[in-house]
Amino acid sequence: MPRNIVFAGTKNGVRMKNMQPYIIIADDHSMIRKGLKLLLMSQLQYRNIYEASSCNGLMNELKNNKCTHLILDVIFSDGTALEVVPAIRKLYPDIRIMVFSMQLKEVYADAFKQFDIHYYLNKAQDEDVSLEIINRFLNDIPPVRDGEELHQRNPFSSLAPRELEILHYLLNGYQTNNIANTLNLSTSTISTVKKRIFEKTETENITQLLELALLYNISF
Amino acid sequence: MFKYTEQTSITDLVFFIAVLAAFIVFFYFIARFFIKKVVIKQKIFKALLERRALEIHQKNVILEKNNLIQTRLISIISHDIISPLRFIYLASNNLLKEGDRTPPEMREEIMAEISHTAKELELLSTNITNWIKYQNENRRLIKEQFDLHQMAGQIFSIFQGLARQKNIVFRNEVNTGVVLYQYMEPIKIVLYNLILNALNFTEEGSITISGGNTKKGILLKVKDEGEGMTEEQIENVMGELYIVSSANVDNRKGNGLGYLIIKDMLKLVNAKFVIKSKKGQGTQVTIFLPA
Repeated sequence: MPRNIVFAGTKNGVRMKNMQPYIIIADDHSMIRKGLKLLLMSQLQYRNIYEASSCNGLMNELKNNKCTHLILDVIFSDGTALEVVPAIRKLYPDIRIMVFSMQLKEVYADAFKQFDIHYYLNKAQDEDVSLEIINRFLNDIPPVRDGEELHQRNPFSSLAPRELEILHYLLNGYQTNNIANTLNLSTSTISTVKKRIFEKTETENITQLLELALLYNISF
Repeated sequence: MFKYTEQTSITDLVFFIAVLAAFIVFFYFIARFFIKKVVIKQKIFKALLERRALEIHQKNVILEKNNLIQTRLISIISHDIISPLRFIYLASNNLLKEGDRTPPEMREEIMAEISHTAKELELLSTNITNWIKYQNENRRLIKEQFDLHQMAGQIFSIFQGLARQKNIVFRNEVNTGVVLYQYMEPIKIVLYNLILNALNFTEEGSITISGGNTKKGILLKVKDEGEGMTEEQIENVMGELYIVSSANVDNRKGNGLGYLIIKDMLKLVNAKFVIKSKKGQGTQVTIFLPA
């Protein structure tokens, strides 16, 4: 699967070689947006960089600017990236996306792969490695060299996108009906997913789930 | 003789039966008395036990709540402190190394951002310290004498820089000469958080602290001209089971730590508070401190 993406990317990459990419950085901390922007400008000489601080802001920014690359955080004050990615994929199928987050790769990377997002950079990664991955992303080079794929798992790794989405709200103390309202889903769906989350993480209640989330650095 | 003995034995028998009956009745009452005592004791034990169970349950609820809050705090620290700090480092380091090659506007933008973020990190860390400091319920508190007008001025001065950036005017309308004998620090922390909230949700206009003595106690008001709160938001904030909502420093939606601390502190000083607000028309928080 990733191989196909790589080919598609390279083809488009040739077309875009002489063009500066138009990049959006979507992150809820302005310090992180500005810092990353500085790195992109001074270290990699990119010029066209926009910023968005929330899911809504991102959708607006995408509407107003023709963008080629999106650097996307996972948690925003008005939702998670998992909620907007399907819409972005539908409205802007050509945009290339890299996830840039504090969240562990082994938890979220698989979920994002289902939306054809193969670049995942952890914010805690050191500067040189980060720059290399960003450079690969912006030049449509495959994210990792062959055989470099990391295979680390933790109790949250097997959660599907929808489950991760709901996990975020559960950890934030939302009740089932609140989650249903926020995500526009039925309460029975939420209950089912909730049960599955408990099963997969082998927990029995929210307290245990919170403790486990803390242990594996799931921020929320 | 025979007759006599017969007679006596009959009276004896009657007498014996009477005594026996008296004994039975006597013992019956004694037994009843003791049984009743035991039953009462049992009831007392049961009541005590139930009360203990309730206490333990309540302690558990509190523990669980604190547990939740602690988890939330760790999440705030990692999301809102560690990652911004990391980018302060990355950005400033980059400016040091590549400063000459960075366009001046960009350099200025980054410097402004670093300074702004550093201030917010200071405020957030102060607040986390405040909250942790007062978590120990058995902590002994000492009342102090202080001037409310002066205190309002001190708190305003902490935020003066942020207010100037946003064109917000502070008004200290607390009556002069209101001297309180109260737990000073908790009241200061409450005002600190109310002003921080008001700043976060006001784009321009004024923030006013007013207050003074009434017959029954001290009345304190913090009023802003910001975006206001919906009824649902107010209910959420006032709710007993309020959990700190999504953490966020930057886009100034607050991490909910503020009201949690406000409620804890007001409980310490036995005060009550009311939020009055309309979406788009500002918020007014009134605190009543009984004399």
